[in-house]
Amino acid sequence: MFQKEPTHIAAADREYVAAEMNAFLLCWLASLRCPVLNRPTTTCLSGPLWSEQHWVHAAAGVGMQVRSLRVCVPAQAPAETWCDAPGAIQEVTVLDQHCFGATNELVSGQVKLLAAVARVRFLSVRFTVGDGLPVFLSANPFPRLTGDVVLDSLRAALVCEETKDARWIGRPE
Amino acid sequence: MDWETRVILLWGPANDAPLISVRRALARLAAPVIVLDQERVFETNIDLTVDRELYGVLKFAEREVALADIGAVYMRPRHTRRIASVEAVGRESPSWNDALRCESTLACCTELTPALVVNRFSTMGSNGSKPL
Repeated sequence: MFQKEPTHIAAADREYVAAEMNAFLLCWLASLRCPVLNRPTTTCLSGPLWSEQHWVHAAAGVGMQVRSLRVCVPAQAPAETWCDAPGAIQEVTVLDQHCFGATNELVSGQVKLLAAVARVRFLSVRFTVGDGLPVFLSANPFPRLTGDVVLDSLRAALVCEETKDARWIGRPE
Repeated sequence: MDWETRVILLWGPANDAPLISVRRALARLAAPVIVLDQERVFETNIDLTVDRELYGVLKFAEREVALADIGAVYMRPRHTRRIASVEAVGRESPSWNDALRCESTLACCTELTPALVVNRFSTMGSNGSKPL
């Protein structure tokens, strides 16, 4: 929850209220024993809130092709040097060991590795595709919920695990 | 540059009491230190490049240090929005955004650097306090 979101709260109190709400939701989500995609972290209620630089660094670390990302403070033009990435966009989504949209095993393996490094189960990664290997563009721990295959796998991940571990908080035993 | 001669970065308001204590202790040890005073955020320049590595330069006032030469970080930054010099320029000023970018870029550096960091934001718990 961002500071600007609790609009029903007096402006002077919003930051405090948002922080307390985040603390409560983090505690609650972390305590759940039912399937949670993605698990909360200290920086975000669903997976890590990584900067672009952090994702690029992690992507390079798992062997993906990346473009160096430069940031200058104070801002200079151009501040980020990779926005002119050419080529078509390819989006790959990983859910546990299932990978959707990858054109080869190398890419699907790297995307799974990136999800493991980020400690998320559900992740989408965008690449620019040109003549050579796909080049990492961005990653998102909030994948779009589109495509029957992705949705079926998501449902299976949630339902199957719920069946396996039915003793999650709030559910009668 | 070996670990013993690497610079220790102190980041936060220079008048922060714990930061002052750490600074004094390091001075007694004659440890090389650079203090990034948040109140003087507009004197801070960062040129950061990230890929598999993290490299760049940090300039503050008249001092300049390569990120690779920073061996440890002790940080107690306040919200940049609450820093007096930032409040003074106002939200409509381009400098306001520069100050926020400075905060986020330094936060990114402290997450990715192999240096010893006390403590990384990602290890803090709810409300930026205790570990989860």
